[in-house]
Amino acid sequence: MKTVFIRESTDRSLPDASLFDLSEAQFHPCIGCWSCWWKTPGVCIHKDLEDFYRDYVNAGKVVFWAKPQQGFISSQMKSLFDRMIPLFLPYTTFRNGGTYHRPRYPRYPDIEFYYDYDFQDDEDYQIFHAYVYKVFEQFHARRIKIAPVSDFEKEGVV
Amino acid sequence: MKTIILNGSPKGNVEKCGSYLLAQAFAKKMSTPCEIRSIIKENRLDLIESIQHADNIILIAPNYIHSVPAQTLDFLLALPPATGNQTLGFIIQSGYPESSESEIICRYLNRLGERLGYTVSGSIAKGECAGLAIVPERFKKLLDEFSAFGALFEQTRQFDRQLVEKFAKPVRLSKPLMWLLNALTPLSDVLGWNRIMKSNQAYEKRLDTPYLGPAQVKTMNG
Repeated sequence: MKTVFIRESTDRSLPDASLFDLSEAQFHPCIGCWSCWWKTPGVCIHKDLEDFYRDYVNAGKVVFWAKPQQGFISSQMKSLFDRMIPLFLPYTTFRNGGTYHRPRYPRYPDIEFYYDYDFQDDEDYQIFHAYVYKVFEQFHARRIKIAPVSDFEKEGVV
Repeated sequence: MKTIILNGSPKGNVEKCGSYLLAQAFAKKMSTPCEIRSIIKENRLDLIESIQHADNIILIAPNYIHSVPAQTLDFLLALPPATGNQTLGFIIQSGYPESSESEIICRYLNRLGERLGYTVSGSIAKGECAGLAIVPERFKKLLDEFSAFGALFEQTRQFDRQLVEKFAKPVRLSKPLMWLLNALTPLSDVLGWNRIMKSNQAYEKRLDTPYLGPAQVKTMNG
């Protein structure tokens, strides 16, 4: 299965194939209408991320190259997360003390989330890691790696 | 003391917006009229100017993917530093039963506020708000509690710790509660989502996988 790259900063060249360039992508924010759950299941009213959805759910791995702002993910990255709701069912299940939306697809990609940022202190670092992990745990990723870009450079492009 | 409430929902200040209903309740018993402004529907520069003239600023926003909606985050990341002795508080409401789904973003927002020089009045993660905008009559008790909470805030400029803890319950789901919720899931699916989908002629498509590629389809079919 292929690897998809999601790049937020342009100062890094990544393979053109299966690259989603978040720094240039223009798409509507989620408006919370829930049409993708109760009117057109699995399909957003906005038709500007269909290639991304197709790439994401059919990938074996998705590699993010994120550019955080003020110790948190950028609003553009957050907008992409918000728009991923159609990939999951509205139905929920309860485990580990929390609520999880059930998967719509048979499997979801492993996640490698690299960030280009120096945190001011350990609490900022902990909050950022906890948040990204929480998101992809909710998104049913089986393997989640969150690391600074230096780790990516060490390992190289897969 | 001038208080301004920022509604961080993409729906804006309309009756079908849960965050707006909570904002109205919060402001209801305050002695000084309190503005409720929409982050997403209003001009950003106008809104920032109003914020700079307020003593107390409170964000009320829905939980979108364990944080605030992207456009609201964009606004918060551009928030100017405090001008003088300003307070900033955060209320994140969600449909999840447990409040821990909003815990991380509350931690982040508290730090952001402090970093910008505001006195952080507190943060509330409130679960169990699913349906607030659809059947608000079922949330009368919560809305009344929010009115009392707002009146108390006006006096102290701080979120009352006991009420913060009360609103946050349950923080996480206990094992018996998870067992009960999982056992009730088939019934709640029928009475909740399935009924809505049927009314929209979408029920038969409820499990659709529109972006699935041929390889994954083969996996599904064995």
